[in-house]
Amino acid sequence: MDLTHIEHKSVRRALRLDEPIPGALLQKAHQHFQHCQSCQQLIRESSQLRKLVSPRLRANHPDADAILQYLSEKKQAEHSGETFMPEGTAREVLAHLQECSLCRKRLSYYRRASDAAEQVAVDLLSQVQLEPQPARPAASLRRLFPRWDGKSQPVIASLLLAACLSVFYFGSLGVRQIQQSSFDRLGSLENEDFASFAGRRASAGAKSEAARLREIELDLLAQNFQQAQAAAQAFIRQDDPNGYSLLRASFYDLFASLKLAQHSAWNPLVPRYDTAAVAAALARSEPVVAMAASDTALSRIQTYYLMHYYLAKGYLILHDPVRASEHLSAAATHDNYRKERARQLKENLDQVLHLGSQ
Amino acid sequence: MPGENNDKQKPAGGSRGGQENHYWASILSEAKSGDSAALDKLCVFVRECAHEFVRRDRMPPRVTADDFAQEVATVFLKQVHNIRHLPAWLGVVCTKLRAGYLRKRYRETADSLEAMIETPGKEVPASLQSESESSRIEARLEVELLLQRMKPNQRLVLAMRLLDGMEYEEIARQLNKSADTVRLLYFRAKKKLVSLMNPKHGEDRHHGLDAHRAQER
Repeated sequence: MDLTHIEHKSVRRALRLDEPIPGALLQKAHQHFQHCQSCQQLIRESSQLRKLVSPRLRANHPDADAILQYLSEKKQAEHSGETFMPEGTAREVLAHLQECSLCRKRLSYYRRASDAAEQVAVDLLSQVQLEPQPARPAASLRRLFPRWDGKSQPVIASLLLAACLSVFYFGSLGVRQIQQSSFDRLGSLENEDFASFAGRRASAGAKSEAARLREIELDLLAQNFQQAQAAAQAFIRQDDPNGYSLLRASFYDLFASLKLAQHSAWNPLVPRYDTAAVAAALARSEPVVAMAASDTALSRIQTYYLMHYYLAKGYLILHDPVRASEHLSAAATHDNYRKERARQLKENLDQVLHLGSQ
Repeated sequence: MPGENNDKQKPAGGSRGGQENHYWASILSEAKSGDSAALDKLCVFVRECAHEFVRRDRMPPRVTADDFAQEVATVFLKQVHNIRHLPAWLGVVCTKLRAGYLRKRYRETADSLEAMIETPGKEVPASLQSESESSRIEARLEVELLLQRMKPNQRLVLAMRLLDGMEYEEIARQLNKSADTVRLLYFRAKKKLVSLMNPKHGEDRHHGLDAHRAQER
């Protein structure tokens, strides 16, 4: 779609005068320029003028900044009753002004403009006396909405008030709240499914410890967390397992408990985690980890470091970054399938803590 | 200095007397000596002034009062030790920043237009693309002579538009003319310059200079 006759006239006028093309015509004008030789010629002429004449003008005459620099020094000297002794740029400008009538006119323009701006400062100075001022919401609103009379638009006023209150409320939650939401995010298990240990197979005897642990593992893989948690806790209570089986059962219990404690995150008014359940799971797991830490064999196996990883997750959910950091450090040091993730989490947690301390 | 009498105007607010002046001067000296409370007070005042300046004056679109106030406050903090008279300094700085915005806007308009067409390299004459020092000086003289051949008002409008990026309405206020008259002056000045820069019938680019010399002879 090309420009109409009137639109073409309006665009050509803007091009001749180096003015912006009206916004409504911009897209059409862009397409039009691709084939209109006369418009292209106008743009080229403006470009030529700018590229050839402007640099020469700037070389022959001081720019606005230099003139204003000279003016600033002159005015400051006048006001403070000192003799005006221009130096550097101001001296060059003064020398130029003595010869150039064009720049004297520019100077007089800038002088008037800066006097008007100075008057603003003087007026305000006489009002505020530089004393601490109480907040002036009405003045601020006038600045935001110069045409708003404050009476005719009660809906806008109400909306503004509501927005201000919301900003104040959410702002007052502060860094701590931001940190806590970061901990929640870091502690999330949404994308972490249970991974079976490679090569592990249930032994032939259905009643053996290994077989029962394998059943719990299968429940976890099938995401039957309730069942897995109950089975793991029953295993720990009833069978008086050895250290290795206890560690594995505790690990399954912890994992299932954390998964069950996580609620849907769509509603911000409902807490994202059942923190009481998480705290209980951590309380059950900590003694087992402490026992494993004192055992030279158990403290080398993958389950032990996975326990550290999920304990860290639990402490993140409980907003205890110090304990979480300790467990993440342990999980990131030895070989396990969450080692890399533990390292990343530790880095992220350190960043959150660093930001919070600033 | 010729024309200096026009510039010697009464300092703004000079008649308001000494009490306010003395008050801000003492705070300024406290701020210079490192009193952070005084510096904070002045910063608040400077920002308030910038807001008021935007409210009273017509600023280019897209410049918000907050952005402007932030810039003024930044310059203030950089230059606080060189300020002797706060209102005078503020007046000049606000004018300077405003002039910067206007120049930027003018440049952006021109750039956006240029970007709309494919600008061939031949647009700038090859003789001007790699200039020696002597030819640069010659070209400067040529432009100056071309400008001198214009009417004073045309010259002023051209300089205010090309050098300072001012808008027509503002130039019109300065020259006490209508904006349309100023547009016409600019258009004629531009047309004249373009025709002198693009001599026809194989004449070289010194057409303007030569013509001027011939006229003088």
